[in-house]
Amino acid sequence: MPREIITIQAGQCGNSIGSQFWQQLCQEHGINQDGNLEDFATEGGDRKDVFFYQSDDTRYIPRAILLDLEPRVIQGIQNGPYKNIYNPENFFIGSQGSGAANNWGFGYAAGEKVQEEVFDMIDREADGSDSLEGFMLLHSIAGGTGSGLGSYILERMNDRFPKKLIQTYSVFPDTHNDNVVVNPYNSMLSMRRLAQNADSVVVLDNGALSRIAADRLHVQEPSFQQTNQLVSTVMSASTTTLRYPGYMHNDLVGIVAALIPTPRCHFLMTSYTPFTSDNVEQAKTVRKTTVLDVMRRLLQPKNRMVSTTPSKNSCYISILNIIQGEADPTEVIASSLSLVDRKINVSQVHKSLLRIRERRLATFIPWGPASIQVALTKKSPYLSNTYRVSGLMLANHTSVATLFRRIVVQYDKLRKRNAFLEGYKKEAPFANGLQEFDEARAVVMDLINEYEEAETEAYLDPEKGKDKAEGT
Amino acid sequence: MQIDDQRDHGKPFVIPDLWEKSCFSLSEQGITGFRLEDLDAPLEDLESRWKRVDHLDSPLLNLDYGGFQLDDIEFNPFDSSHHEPLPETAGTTSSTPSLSEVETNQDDESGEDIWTSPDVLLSQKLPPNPGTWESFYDDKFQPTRSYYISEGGPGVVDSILALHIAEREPANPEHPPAHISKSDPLLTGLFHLMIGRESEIFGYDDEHQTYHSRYGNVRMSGYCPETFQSLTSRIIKYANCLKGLRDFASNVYASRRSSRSLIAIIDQVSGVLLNLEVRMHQSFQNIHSVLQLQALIQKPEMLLSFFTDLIAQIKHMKRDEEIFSTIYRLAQDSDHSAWIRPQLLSTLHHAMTPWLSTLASWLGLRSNKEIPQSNENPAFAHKALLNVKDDRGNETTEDELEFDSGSLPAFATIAEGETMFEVGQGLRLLQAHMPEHPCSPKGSRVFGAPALQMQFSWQDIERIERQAKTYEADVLAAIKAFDSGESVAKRASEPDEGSTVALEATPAFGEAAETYLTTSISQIENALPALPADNYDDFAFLGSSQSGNPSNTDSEDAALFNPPISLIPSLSFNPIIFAQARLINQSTLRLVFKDHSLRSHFSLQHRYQLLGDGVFASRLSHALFDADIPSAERKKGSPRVGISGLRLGSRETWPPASSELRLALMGILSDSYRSTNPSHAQRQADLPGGLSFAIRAMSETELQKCINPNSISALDFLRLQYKPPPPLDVIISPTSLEKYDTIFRLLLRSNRMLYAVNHFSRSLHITDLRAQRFKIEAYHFVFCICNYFFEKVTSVWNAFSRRLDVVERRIERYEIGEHDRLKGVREMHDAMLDEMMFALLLRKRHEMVMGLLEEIFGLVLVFATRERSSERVNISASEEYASFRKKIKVFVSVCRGLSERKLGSVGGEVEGGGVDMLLLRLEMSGYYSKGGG
Repeated sequence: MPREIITIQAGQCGNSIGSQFWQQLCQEHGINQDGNLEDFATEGGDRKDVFFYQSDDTRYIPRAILLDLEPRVIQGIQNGPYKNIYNPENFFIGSQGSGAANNWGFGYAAGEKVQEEVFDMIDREADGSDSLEGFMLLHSIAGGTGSGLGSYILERMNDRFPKKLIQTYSVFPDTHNDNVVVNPYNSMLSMRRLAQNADSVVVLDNGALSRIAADRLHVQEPSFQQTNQLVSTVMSASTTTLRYPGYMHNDLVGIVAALIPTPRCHFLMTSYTPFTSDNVEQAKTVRKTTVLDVMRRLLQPKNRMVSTTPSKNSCYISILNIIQGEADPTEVIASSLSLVDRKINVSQVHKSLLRIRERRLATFIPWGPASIQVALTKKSPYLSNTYRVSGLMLANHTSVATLFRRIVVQYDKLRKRNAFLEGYKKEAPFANGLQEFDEARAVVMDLINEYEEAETEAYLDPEKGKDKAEGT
Repeated sequence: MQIDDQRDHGKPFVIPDLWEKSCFSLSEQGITGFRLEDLDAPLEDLESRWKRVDHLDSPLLNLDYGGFQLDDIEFNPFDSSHHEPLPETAGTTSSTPSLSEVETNQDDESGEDIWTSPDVLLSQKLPPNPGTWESFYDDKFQPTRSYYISEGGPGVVDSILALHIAEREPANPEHPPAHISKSDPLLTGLFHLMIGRESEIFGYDDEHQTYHSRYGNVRMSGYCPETFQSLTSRIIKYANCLKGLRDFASNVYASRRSSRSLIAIIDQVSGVLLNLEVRMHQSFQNIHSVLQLQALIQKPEMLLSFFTDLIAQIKHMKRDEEIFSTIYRLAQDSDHSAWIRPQLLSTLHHAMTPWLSTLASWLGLRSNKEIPQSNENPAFAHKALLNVKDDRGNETTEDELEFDSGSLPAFATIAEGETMFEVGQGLRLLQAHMPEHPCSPKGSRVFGAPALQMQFSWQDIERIERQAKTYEADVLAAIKAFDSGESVAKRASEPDEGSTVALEATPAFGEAAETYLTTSISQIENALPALPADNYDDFAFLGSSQSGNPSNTDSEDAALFNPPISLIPSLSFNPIIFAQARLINQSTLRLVFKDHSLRSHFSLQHRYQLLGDGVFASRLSHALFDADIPSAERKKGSPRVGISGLRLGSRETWPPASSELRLALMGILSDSYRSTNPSHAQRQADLPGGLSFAIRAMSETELQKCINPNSISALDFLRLQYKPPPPLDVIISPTSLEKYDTIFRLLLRSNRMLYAVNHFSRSLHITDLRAQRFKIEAYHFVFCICNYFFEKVTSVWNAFSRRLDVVERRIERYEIGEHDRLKGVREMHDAMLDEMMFALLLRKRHEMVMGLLEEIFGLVLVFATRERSSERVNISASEEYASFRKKIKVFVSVCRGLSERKLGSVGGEVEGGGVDMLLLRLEMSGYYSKGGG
């Protein structure tokens, strides 16, 4: 009874981060390019069946559905080194092969047309799992396929699998420096689905990713390839507790419950440290990695993979740190049983938490209990790393609303001028007018308000906040 | 009776006024009835002597010489062949020679009545007497004669005494005057009495249990009754003592219940008594007077009274340990005379021998082919009946060896005792599980283990240490060879017969010690001639007061340089015992760690009992709680297919039927186990230790509690059953399994809580703000508690594994650490579980906190059930929420109290500081201390 998770990757971005993700998982679990276990991969203790199933010939096949309306990226995967691991029946390329032309409406409308085929795949995968826990959607919200088709799927999934969790890894466009003008429209329309139809959204801001890649990897103009690698690292790290289960956070619901106390505030930011040559080439930094260092760095805004402009009141609703430590043999001081332990252990975590509290490195919500949850997980025994400790922070931070607000501002600028709306009006969702835009904006504004509310003490207060809470 | 012949010293030429009449002079005293001829008794033959005594107004002591014939031949002190002068002795015997001289001189002047008158004597013609210069020059010279009664011989004294008594107590019928006996028969009689024989004069009175004089009051001529009486009673006392000892000895031999130490002591005592007798016979040849007899008896008397005292102390003791412990304590008292200490040590040595041989068997230092029966074990390893509950709750009794510190000898500390006990147990373990092992009694054992014996000198102790080292190295080599598969018998060194045998034969003699001894003998020993060495060397002190004996400690100097008695047992046994302990501990640890893979069993406990295996834990919680999985409940008409679960939390019927339980939990354990042990994958065999789910035996009240599916105790009936296969049961004890079980129950509850809060409704439409807050706080609380529990389990377990790693590394290198023994590992394991239980608030002292925690959990479960059943209905949780908040606040403050108390206590917690860890998580944002919104 593994708690299976089916991954749906939609659009160019979704498929490229997806292919990186699967490559990473294969390496971590010792699965070779044909889907077979490597000879050395005998250690056990991991749970491959969350993300893979075993075919009749015992090969490991990803529970992945690859969707795109244009063939380029998917064909790249089909010709790539890991082409053999995928189930060929799970590739879906739009029949026209022309793509969605960065139009959310096109993607959404295409969804309507291809839904039968797509949901056949999804159903097949769902039936093939013993105890399906949920779905992971990988997409970007700015383009056409990932945002439009992704939105369509999200909506339908809620009806088809009402009890299953849906987590998305959503790549947000770089709001400061964007070359696709209609991004704000697409983003706004997708945001509505993310707010209403997903249980948890991991926000990956292309702007922040480029900045981090540039900073940490010492490159001027990071390629998508490089930023995608960051994303796949984050994805693999955030699923370690599922794949190497411990006492807690060993299923998706555990992670979601840990991070999302109020269901509407389910947009998560991530930080990851350290990025070194193991993850991305060209980065050769020599640094000390203790648990405290890692946890402190994770809290630094510059390491967040979302560009936000936190206000004074911004605070953490919840934090989950996934710390991976090395299983290094312990050094023994011969004379006694006292050990110099190089493994990360609970007391190091405890000390780090104490220090973080002393230094007030993290501000928490005023209206409820909160803390930094720490999950210590083991690292893959098959990958060698130069650093001892690495950490991923999944955080529910109110400042994520500033990102949304930027999108709203950009959207408003475009919408005021009714710019670039022609393409949308042609598509089915807008056949009866552009209310869809306004509805989406209202939802996103509510979301922003919700986050801003959450910075105040009166949030969720039965006496004071009654009206606002029920206003939704 | 002493003649003061010392008074002329320094004035050799002053002639005392010898001619002055003695105050006893007849004419002046006018005593009638005193005849001069009475005084010359020594000059006459035996026959007439008796007659003369008869002339006195006292009853005749008519002795038949026939009764003494045997002894007469040897012991007649007046036999002409014994007329050499007695050797000079210092002190008490100094007067004796002069007395004898007088007598012998008188003998020489056959027939002369020296007391007639000096004038008459002067006129007589006498052959020249070359005895003096005067008579050499002048053959008519008459030496002056003494008028002192003290020089007058026994007859004079007797006469005067008789006169004196008659005058003072005329014819007192109650105190009849003493019989007067001639000295040699009486002396012989007394001597016989001294060696415990009856004689004509002294017999044994069974009624009064004492020796007595057959003739009532007897005295030797020349002694006053009181003096002689005191001697006689002293000898009688001595003889009684002797008889008492002999009787006791024969009783001990006859009794079946006599302890072996007692028999050994009696053996020794009998030997001493026999030896005493022989010695006395030898000495008696030279004894001519009562004074000599008195001197002779002095030391035997002390010895006997020592033994009598000793036996009086120990005769009621049943156990060997008590007996020799008493002697050991006695030996440490310093108020014994130097010559009795060796006796004491020798007794101790004898008394300990049986126990030591038992101990040697117990420790496997002897090459028995079999392990001795349990009734041959030393008393500290006594058999206890343990009540063992089996899985179905049936109690069976099992024989277990138990360590009894009360039965340890006085010299062994409890730690030493435990070491010995463990060695024996380890040996039995090896015997049972690895009979071919070089240390196992059945294994081909050819190592000359040093004998367990008291060593009384430093040299011997050093030698023992060396031998122990050699032994250890030999056996270790054999063990290594055994482990690598070589034949032990061929590789092992030949038995060192010589040294072993020699060692056993001579308790403790270094050559140097012997040389020292000889010189010291020659220096100090004077009084009596040295006796020829014989087999009774141990008791030669009777004759010489210095001689061999295990300790050589006769002179205080020697004793000074020998190890103190209090240290001797530990110094002599510990090198051997500890060497053996190291070997056995090493081997048993290898047995459990390598041959029976203890670590894998430990990890089994961790993975399953402590839910350390995440795959297992999550599968288990889904099988138990997941509402999405089809129910395993039997429903009419619908066959059960595929996976099913218990769906606790979303069902009304509870508890589940056992078939349901079996169905739901089927395969969880074995799948999880096989996934990590591919070698086990093919075999359908049971899991190690028969690990499986089972129903806990519960009391009625507990049963009532788990009937309610929404109570926190609903799952308490479920447990994991595991029985450690021998020999691992030595380490994983039933108590530790109980602790695992308690922890398992708590962790299962925690998992259930976690599942409940994880699955609170995620509806985007918050209808009830209080309910939402309740959910948030409940999640936070449950999460922090569970997180704390799980982290504690992990960290305590990891610390334990690291310690085991160290032990295992040492085993790998054939090294042994201080605590590397089965018991050490077991204690480590138990301590780990205790620490874990402490951290998990499962100890008795945390009962209140745990109670509070259960209440909070209960509230959360009630809420979860309500929420699920009436998802669309508005939950008015205000009251619930208020009481929930209150309880959490109490809990937080209790934790604060606990953590402050802990800070005050010494040492604190090992990692992170226990409850404050929990507190930090709960209060990271300080929500509750701020007053909580």
